[in-house]
Order: sequence, then structure tokens, then C-alpha cells
Amino acid sequence: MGIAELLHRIQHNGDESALNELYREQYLKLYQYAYSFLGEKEPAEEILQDVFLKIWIGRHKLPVIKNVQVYLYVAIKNACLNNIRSQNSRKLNEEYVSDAYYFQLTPDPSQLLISKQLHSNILRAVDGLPTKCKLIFKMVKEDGLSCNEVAQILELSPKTVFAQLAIALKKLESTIK
Amino acid sequence: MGKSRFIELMAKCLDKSASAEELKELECFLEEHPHLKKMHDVTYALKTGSSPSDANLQDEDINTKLDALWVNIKNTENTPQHNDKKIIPIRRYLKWVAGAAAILVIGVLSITFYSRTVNKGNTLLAAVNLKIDVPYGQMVKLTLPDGSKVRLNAGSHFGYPATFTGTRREVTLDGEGFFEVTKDAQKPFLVHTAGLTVKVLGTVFNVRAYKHDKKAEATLFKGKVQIELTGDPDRKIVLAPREKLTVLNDAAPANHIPNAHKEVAKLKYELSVLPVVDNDEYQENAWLENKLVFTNTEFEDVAVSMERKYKVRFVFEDEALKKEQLSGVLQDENLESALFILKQITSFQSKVADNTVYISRLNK
Repeated sequence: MGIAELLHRIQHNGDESALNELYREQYLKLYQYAYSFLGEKEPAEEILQDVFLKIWIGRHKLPVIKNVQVYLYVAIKNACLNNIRSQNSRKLNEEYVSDAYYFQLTPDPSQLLISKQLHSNILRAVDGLPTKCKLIFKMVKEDGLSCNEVAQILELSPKTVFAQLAIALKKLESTIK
Repeated sequence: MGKSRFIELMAKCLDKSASAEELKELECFLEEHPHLKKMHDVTYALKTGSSPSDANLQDEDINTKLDALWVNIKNTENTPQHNDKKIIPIRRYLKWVAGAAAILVIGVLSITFYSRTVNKGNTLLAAVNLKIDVPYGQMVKLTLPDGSKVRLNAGSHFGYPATFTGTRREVTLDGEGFFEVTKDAQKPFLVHTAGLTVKVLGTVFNVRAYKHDKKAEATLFKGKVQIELTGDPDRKIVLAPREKLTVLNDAAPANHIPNAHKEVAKLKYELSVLPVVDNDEYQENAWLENKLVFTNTEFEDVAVSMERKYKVRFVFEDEALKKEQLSGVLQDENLESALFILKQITSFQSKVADNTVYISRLNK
């Protein structure tokens, strides 16, 4: 079931199971996204609960949403920024995306036919990417967002996002060569 | 056959915006250059793993969180929106009266019907009491209409009005709650439990008064509270910060109270001062951080706390073990490792079946 359809069921039918499904499907990636702003577990969880709560409570008043996935990410982002702002206005600089993402390789090294040494080199290279670059790489690769969607969420141009993605890939390529 | 062309194709492929030709082109690259193939595989094998946060959430965790979300939603829906009031000019106002009256009639009828079908408290009248039942294994955070904050421990039942009218703010509790009461000198805040009533103006305190527990406790962290015992309404006890009042609970099943206690029933309560500790970590508020702290606590009381936290039932197959005194801290352990830790302190064996933990003596 598509995420847009889930939201439709929430909006027009007051379907509780649709909210459950939406929550289960989106929780992890939205949580990780919120965590990347706040760097703390509890407030990130609270923000997620709050966003879902508001969607349900305000379901009759929701605007027409073109892209539900982008809407959710933006809602989380705004809530996080508000939270940071209320905590500490000085903290709100460019460096608001914290270094929360750490990558690892899922299959074991032998399956990928790479040595242990290379394995750790790769991880060091990816984890050492600039935070924004890492975030974009993660969102495109793992959260299944397109470059255009990431651009909308992060308020960047699609070209920039694509370029950042290329930077991450180049880094990988040069590590492996 | 530029490298940058390959990177571009890879990026498009990740973006899922690559055309069929581009995918074919990428395939050629991968076949011709083993290191690019390797890089391609590595890219797909990369995953954000367990960062310092707990990235790998279990299904259970999500379900618990989802339950908490619904508790929150029901709670918010049950609180009337005060800020929706609009001022309507008098002339237009008359037009509305007829409509409003009709709606009221329909409303009243449907409420009557609704409350008959679903036996839940309705929400439209301010005087109505709201009730929250916290299931075992969960905690609930709550903000009351006056801005006071309450955190309720597992297995608690809490009642409060949708709005505080009159000269007092009164709530009822069967269970454990940590209160941060907003100051309002005109309207004292009262927490009624089976064994005692706590009266405050604005403070931070913890009340532990489960109906079926042997004793009820109130601990003050900030400010000042006055406590009234249900059994002895004329006696008023005032607590200072870090003081704790313990009252033996008459309502608890009789077999839980040893005879010795009954004879000294006149004593009824006991005042103690908490030791000064670092960073405010007391046994009394540890549950807020999901911790269970015991200091010379009898095993059967430990078991009751664990029943609430872990959503299980404890059965003692050996009476003597119930009185075993335990001290220690349990935090993020699951049930199994919690039992394992307890076994280090005192010797017993346990068997878990059907959400029930059977505790028996070690036969050796």
C-alpha cells in the first residue's frame, strides 16, 4: 500500500490501522533523521510521537499534500529546528546536522571479496565524508528518496544534491581502486 | 569510458532516475572493470548501522511506541480545545442560536446513545473526569489542564478533570506518579490515593500508592507538601524536601500484612529522610529513567515492581524466598538478564512460561 493512500485513509476515513501502518513503515528512517538533528534519543522520539499525533488530530485540516514522504521529512525537520531553537538559539547555525550517521557493511567482507584492511578503509572513508554529504547519501540510498525529494526536504537545488551524491561515490571509488 | 561518466551513472542508478539505456551502459562498465563492480557491490552493501542511538529497533519497541502514541492521541482528543473560542458579533449571534440549540439536542442525544454503547467517559462537559489506565510494561507522560506535568508508572490508574473548576485542583491516583505541579497559590493541588492525600501548592514529588501494595509512599523533591492520612484525617504531616512518608496500606490483602504489623497499626506511618546522593538519583524517582532501584527490599516487593515493568506474573513456590532482602539496580536489562542478575545476589531458580515467572529454591 502506497504511503499516499495510507494518508488518504487517515484523512478521509479516520482509519486507525492506516496510521499504525504508516507509523511502522516510517518510524526508523524518520527517527534517524530526527536523531541526526538532535543527537539525542529522547527528544528525537518525542518529536516523532508529536508529528504523528498532530497528523491524526489535525487530519481533517491537513492541506493537500503532493508528496507525503517529503511532507513527513519536512515536518520532522521543522519540529527539530523548533526544538533546537527553543533549547538554545545560538546553536542554530549551519552545523545543525550532527554527525549521527555511521555506516557499516552488511555482508561479511569475504562475500564482498575485499580484505579486512579494505573493509575498514571503506568505512573510514564513508564515515569521514562531510555530514551533509553523508546525509544525502543515506537518504537517497537507504530511505529510497529521489534526489529531487531530498532537494525539497533540505531546501537545496537538485543539482547540488546530485553533485553531493557523486562526491560520495567518487570517494568510494577512489578508496577501492 | 570516463570515470566521471561511471559515477554519474551510479548516482542516477541510486536515484532510480536512470533510463534503460543508461542502465545498460552501467552494466557494460561493471563487466569490463572488476574494481568498479566491487565498488558497486560495496555501495549496495553499505548501511547505516547501530549508531550511538539504537538504530536497530525491534518490532516490539515500535509496537510499544505505537501504543504510547495512541494513549497520547486519545488523551489529547479527550481534552477540549480551549483556544477554538471565537467572538461572534451579537447580531449574527442570534442566527446561530437556533442552530446551536438543534445541535445541542442532537449532541445530547448522541452522547446518551454513545455512552450507552461504549462505556467510556464522554468528553464534552468540563466537569467530567478523565481516566487514564497505564498498561503494564509502559509509562505515560501527561500534561494537566493547568500545565502541571505528571509521569505515570506502569499499572497506574489516574483520574483528573478536563478542566480544573472550583477552588481546588483534585486528581486521583492508584499507582505511582511523579508530579511537577504548576504553582497556583489560590488553588491547592490534591492527589487522592487510597491511603493518603497529598496537598500542595506547587512542587515536585513522587507518590507511590498502588491499591494492592503493602504500603504507600510519598517523597518530596522540591517545595513543600502536606499529607493527610485517609485513616486519620485530623493528622496532617508536612514534608520537607528529601523527606519520605511511608504508610502501611490497610486496603492490601490481609495475608500480606504480618500480624506484627497489625499490632503496631496505631503507628501507621513512618517519616524518613533520604540520604544526600549525587545527581538526584533516588530509589523513589529512578523509575522515571526506566530503572528499578532496590535497597534492602524484600524479594516479593521487588517482584511486584518487576511484574509492572516486564508485564509478567511472579509465582513464588517457596515462601521463604519472598522475604529475602535484595539491593541493586536494574536498568535496561530484559527479563532474562534481570533474573540472571538477581540470581547473583540470592540463590534461586526460575522458570518462565506463559508470561509467568516461577521462583523456587535451588535444589542442591
